Amino acid sequence: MTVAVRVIPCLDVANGRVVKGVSFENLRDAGDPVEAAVRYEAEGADEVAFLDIAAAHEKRGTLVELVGRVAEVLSIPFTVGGGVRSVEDADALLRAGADRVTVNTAAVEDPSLLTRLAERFGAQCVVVAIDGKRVRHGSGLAVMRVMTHGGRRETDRTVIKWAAEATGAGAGEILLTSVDADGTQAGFDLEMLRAVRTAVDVPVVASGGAGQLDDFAKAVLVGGADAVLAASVFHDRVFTIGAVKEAMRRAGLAVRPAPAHVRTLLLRYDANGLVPVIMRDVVTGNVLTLAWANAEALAKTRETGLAHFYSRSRKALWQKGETSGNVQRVVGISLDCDADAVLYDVRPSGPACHTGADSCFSRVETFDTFEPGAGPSDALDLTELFAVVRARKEAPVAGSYTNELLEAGVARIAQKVGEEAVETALASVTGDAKALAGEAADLLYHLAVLLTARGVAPGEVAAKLTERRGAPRRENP
Amino acid sequence: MTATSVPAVTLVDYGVGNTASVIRAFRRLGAEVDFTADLDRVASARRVVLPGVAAFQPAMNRLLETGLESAVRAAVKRGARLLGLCLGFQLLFEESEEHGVNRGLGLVPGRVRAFPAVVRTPHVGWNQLLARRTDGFMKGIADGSWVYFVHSFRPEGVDPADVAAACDHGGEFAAIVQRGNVWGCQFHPEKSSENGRFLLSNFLEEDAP
Repeated sequence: MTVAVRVIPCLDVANGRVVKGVSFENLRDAGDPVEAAVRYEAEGADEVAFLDIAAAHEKRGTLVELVGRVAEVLSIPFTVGGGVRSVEDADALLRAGADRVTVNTAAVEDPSLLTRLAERFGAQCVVVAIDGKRVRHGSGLAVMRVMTHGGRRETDRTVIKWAAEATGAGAGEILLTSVDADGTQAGFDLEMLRAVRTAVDVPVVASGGAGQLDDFAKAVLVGGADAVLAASVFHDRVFTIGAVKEAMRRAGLAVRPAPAHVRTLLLRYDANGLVPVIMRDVVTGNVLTLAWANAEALAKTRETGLAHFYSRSRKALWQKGETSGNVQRVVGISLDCDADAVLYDVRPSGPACHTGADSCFSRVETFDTFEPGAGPSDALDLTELFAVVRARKEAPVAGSYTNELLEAGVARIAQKVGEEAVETALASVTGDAKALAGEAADLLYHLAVLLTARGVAPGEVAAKLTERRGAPRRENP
Repeated sequence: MTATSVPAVTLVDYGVGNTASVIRAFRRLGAEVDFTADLDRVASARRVVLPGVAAFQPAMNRLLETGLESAVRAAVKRGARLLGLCLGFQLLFEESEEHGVNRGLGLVPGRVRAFPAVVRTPHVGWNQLLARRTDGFMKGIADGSWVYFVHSFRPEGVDPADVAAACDHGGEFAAIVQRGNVWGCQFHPEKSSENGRFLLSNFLEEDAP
């Protein structure tokens, strides 16, 4: 038995909220850190890291208050960093419930801070965060330098010497972020990791550059890391914690499996032990397929992050795409209101249908038409309009006005959209409501043709509308 | 659990670190927690928890100076269930060699020693329990369950009959002891997610002596 390799999702916070952004001036609210942390624990995170990226500008109280809220609900260890400059800063965070504190710039400026922290709280509570970057002066060789102030300011320390000095001073763990690799998604900086690994005995946490599932195991097997940390790939649900752990387990590493999810206990299976699963493209919102799952298929899906089903004809578990390679990466699993149906939100890597179509619902065939309701309603659903236009594009029909437009080309359709827009505008000030509705319908129709001609999926427009509204991301349990 | 049978836990307040997370973990399980240094309340408690993130000797001295050592002993003698956590677990043994050899409570035979030099110290992170018993604290806990450790010392020479679960880090050591009504674990159940919740609810079970 060995200590498990830790998988640590990191949450960048400011003002008590998760933030995302490439620069400090361009931060975007990305949710409640407490909710995110709880979700990470349920997914099997071994630890959660919080980094207050606005710490230099903000009041410390917000962070301490956040730590208290996290401690209230989390039952795995968590580390907090960002702007810790003194024993008092660390004490406030540890008292509020943090298990460890991360120190960066302040330790570089005064390494004795690490000693004071270790003496007061124990070395296992003290993590030194090192941001390393290759710097070349003149024509000399590139040297891995320590950067401070969020990776923006170069110091005259080298990463390797500082790693050794910091652990000698009292740091019990190193959080090593490669500024070179960070944000590239090209993999962890294995060279920098190895260099630090050989210089110190304390655990090293790899950070910066995760882009592929394999990257995590490489950081451990090649880089010698004891733990792996990533922020955006987990927050954006590119990978689940379970998928990362499964990839590491397959690479032969000891990982702690994700705990059995409480939610599935609520699921109501049918007499055959199955539930229907609807699979939806998380980007476009398109329904891709309807299939069935048993408890094992759901467990596999959660564990690996790839869509698994149960085939009723073959009476066997199967992974979507296991033969075609068109795997469906699951970013969320939800239950319906009475827990007898499941929704997989996926990022497809290829067509979902065995016919090669993106969706199993690509055939436009109308079995029945339904009489529209008596009066005008509040709903305006353009799904059918887009489906018909798309069907015409794929299989032209003689005499179809839509096909006539499509053949005339984008410039012609664009001109029509312009005309209809003007007519709509005119009707709104000169005509009655009925005339306006008629012109608006013409405009929407031509707009649908234009979008189809340019290959813009209606879901992309829908996504933009959602974004404009500033609506929160759909929550997936 | 019904409102009439809320389990009560008395957490000994003797100035050690990070007791808040232990309090919260028990409260989340529906227990009523009395965090106290009051000698009578400790001595008359049904379930006593000795927490602890600190060095061995100052903690032991504090227990002696405050009279809490006698109060804990009285509770155990009366039949209260005692749970030592982390340093509180190490205090259950006869002695520790952390910063020189110091005497412990001696409620469980064994001596607390440093890890051998060949193994990475401190032992920090998630490791697996090797189940030796299936009752008490280990009831319903599978062999190989993962729990969270942070420590540099561990007991040696523990009677195998007292070991409810072991763990391997540079050789096997007692991770959970159960000697009559004296229980203890080296790891942090309050930081061990789902498995920790199961373990702590076992401590709250009604078959308490």
